[in-house]
Amino acid sequence: MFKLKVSKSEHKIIKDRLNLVETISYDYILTDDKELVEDDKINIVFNSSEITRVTKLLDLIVRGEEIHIIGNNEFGQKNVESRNFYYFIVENEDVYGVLSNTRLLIKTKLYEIEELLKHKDFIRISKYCLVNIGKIDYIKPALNSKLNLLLKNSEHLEVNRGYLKDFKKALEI
Amino acid sequence: MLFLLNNPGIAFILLVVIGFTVLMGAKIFEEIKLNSALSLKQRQMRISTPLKSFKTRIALMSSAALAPVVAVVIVATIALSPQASLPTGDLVAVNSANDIMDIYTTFQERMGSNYDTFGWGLRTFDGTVGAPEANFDTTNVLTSDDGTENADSGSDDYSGTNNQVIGVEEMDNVLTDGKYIYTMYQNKVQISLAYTTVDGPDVLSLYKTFTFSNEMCSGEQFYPMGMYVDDDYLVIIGNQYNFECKDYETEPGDDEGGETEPSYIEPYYWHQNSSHIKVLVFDKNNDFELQDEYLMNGYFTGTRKIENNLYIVTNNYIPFYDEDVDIDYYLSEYSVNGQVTKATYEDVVYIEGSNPNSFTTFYGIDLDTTQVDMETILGDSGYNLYVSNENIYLVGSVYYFWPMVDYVEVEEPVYESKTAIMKVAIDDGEVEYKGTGMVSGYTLNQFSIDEYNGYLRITTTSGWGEETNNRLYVLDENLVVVALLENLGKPNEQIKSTRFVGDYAYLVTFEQTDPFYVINLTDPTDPVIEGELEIPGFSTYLQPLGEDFMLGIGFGDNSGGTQGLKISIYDISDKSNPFVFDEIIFDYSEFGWANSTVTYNHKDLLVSLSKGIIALPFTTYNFGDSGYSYTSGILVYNIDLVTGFTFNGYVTHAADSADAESAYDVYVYKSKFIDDYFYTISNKYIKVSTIEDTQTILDSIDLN
Repeated sequence: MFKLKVSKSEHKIIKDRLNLVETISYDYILTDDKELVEDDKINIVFNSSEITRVTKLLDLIVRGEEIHIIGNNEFGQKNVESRNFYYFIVENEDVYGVLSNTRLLIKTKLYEIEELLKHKDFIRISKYCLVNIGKIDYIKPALNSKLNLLLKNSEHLEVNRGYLKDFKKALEI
Repeated sequence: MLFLLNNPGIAFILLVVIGFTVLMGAKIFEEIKLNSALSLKQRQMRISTPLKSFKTRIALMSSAALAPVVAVVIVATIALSPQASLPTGDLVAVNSANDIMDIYTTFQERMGSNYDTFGWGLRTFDGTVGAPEANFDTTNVLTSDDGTENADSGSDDYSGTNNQVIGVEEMDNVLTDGKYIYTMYQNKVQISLAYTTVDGPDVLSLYKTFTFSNEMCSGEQFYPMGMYVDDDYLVIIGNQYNFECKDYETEPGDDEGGETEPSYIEPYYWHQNSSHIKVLVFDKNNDFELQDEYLMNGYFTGTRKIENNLYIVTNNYIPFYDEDVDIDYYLSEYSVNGQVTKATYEDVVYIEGSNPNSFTTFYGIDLDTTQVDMETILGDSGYNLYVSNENIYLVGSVYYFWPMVDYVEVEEPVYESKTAIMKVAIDDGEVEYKGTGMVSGYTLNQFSIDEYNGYLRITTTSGWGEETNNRLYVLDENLVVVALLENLGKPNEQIKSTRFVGDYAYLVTFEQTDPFYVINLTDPTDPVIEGELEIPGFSTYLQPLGEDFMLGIGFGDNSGGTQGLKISIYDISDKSNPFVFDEIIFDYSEFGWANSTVTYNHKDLLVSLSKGIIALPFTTYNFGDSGYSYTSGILVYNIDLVTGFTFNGYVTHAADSADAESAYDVYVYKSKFIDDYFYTISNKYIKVSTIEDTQTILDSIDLN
């Protein structure tokens, strides 16, 4: 997504401070030298004193547009930003969105949620489950070609064989 | 690979382990890849939560993957590294047969292998107490009354047995005491009057023949092994067999219809060694009357005689493989003129760590008083006996075994041996166990061992090919190694002969050439190679000729090989620069083939510096165009430490025989001198000539 163009000697330091991951294909150029801007890209020219602000800007860019999902629990209706969901699961034809301490009954079909969150790093791992990549703590390959996912709330999910390819693609493997 | 083909079980386990490790490896790789991608993805998402316990988990998984490999390595290390149970020399008291069974069981468990030794049947004594009965035929050709010659005395100047240690007599098959010549061949011991101071060699005549029964099924067979003679006694030592013969009845229904065959020997007693060692002591001063008879159960290991004390070492294997083994039966026992004494368990000592496969018994016999002292040791026996004037050393091998040898098929389960040295002090017929020492490798023969000034010196060879290591050890009186000289000789070379003379050791190693080493042992704790000589061929026997020369007998030919008999004299007056003073080579190519028993039996060699001769049996076999010919004789060289060797004669016994056929069955095996006369002994004749001209026969007697 990003490309950092600074002098070689400062490259690592600035990259660390920006908490930046560079990718081969990118949309944004980050540079402290306006000569290095690329015409067909979005260019952010900064000086080193503005790194903190640039970091926040990057957070915003990555987070993108906030998408809120509405659901209900025993305390009533909640409107939650999508990134806070660990996963969405279908149980008895009802869709639940799982948060760290509670789960919401959501009146939207799972495929609709998937479509809604397709740019939000959610990935389908089975017919009934859509998981937030950002909430995965650890991946254990099982001997039966499935993957066990340990989530940050210590729950376990399983990536079914049929969804393995897409899952790996989502991790850019 | 051959090993795996021979052991499909192990190959399968190995395959499973490899498969598991590969699978685990792939899983670890996959896990690392997935989680690294997840981490990168989350960083792209600007979520910076480190993966929990990633390293711990990978470490755990790696351990799991490697655990079987480690397990296999550990098992293989234990299984394939030889374990030895080495004798510590410490003594363990034994009180009963059960103690021995316990020792055996513990030893087998420690070795992790069922390594049994095989024994043969022993017999209990059934003799009657009293004066010994001569159960052999005595033929008196001459009697004391026949003439005056027999009353005349012999000469004091005669050749004795070529002993290793001065004062320690070795048993031999031909002896002389200056008057008589005692010969032993097959089942006969014959006494021939050979020389008197009055009539010289003219008296040569057969005096007495003892014929022992060697017929199967005759009840008792005696095979003489050797003799000792001194001023008082003629001692004959032999094996006594008791073959059980039974009528053989064919099974009913056989074609022959149950006819009775003459007889057969009960297979139980089919073995090479005897069940008894018998010692017959004849009184020389009473016309060779049988005076005492000693009988010992077990198998003969060795003997020596010092003055009037006879020492005998025997070995009784205990067949533990037989579940109903009765150890009582194998306990050492002896009888003196029929009076039986059996060792008790309290008499037996076990050397901690040794293989409890047999009873080794050291007997000290005082021939004057018939007093017998015995020391019985439970443990490995030995194969090389060295006896000094103070101690008996019995040297044997301790093998290393692969503990899983019963489950793993290996080509060479024994890959290294150590030598255990058992020391038994001797003093005027008394024997007492002193200790056990341990060195690497194996000893070649009795000349590999020597005791000097309280130190024991021993040479050993271990390993084969590139791994060969020749060592010289010096041990103190407690058999603790105080010095070691290693890697003697060139790569691949093995020790072929050793001779210790005072402060020096002379050593021959061989593979292609013969390095002759002079090793200075003046400081027993710091032996140093002082001189070295490299020549073709090799000596299998070394004998000092005075202080400055060493006689070497072995193999060598004229083209630098070993296809011939070679007799050399090394000049060792300058220890740092030994050189060949003179040598004689009998190239096989000139004879067809030739052989001298001296290359392996030092007692067949006659060396006398005072008479200036060496004499040795020499047999040639020719398969030339004119057909097969065989010549057996005694080769005699004059030896002079200024001029070297000069040929004296080749004394054969059949050359002048009218009966041409006899040429093929005359075997000349010994030579002796009395005064200036030279006696050659064959299975058929004793012939006498002069030392000056050995080939001209003066007189001859027929021994048959």
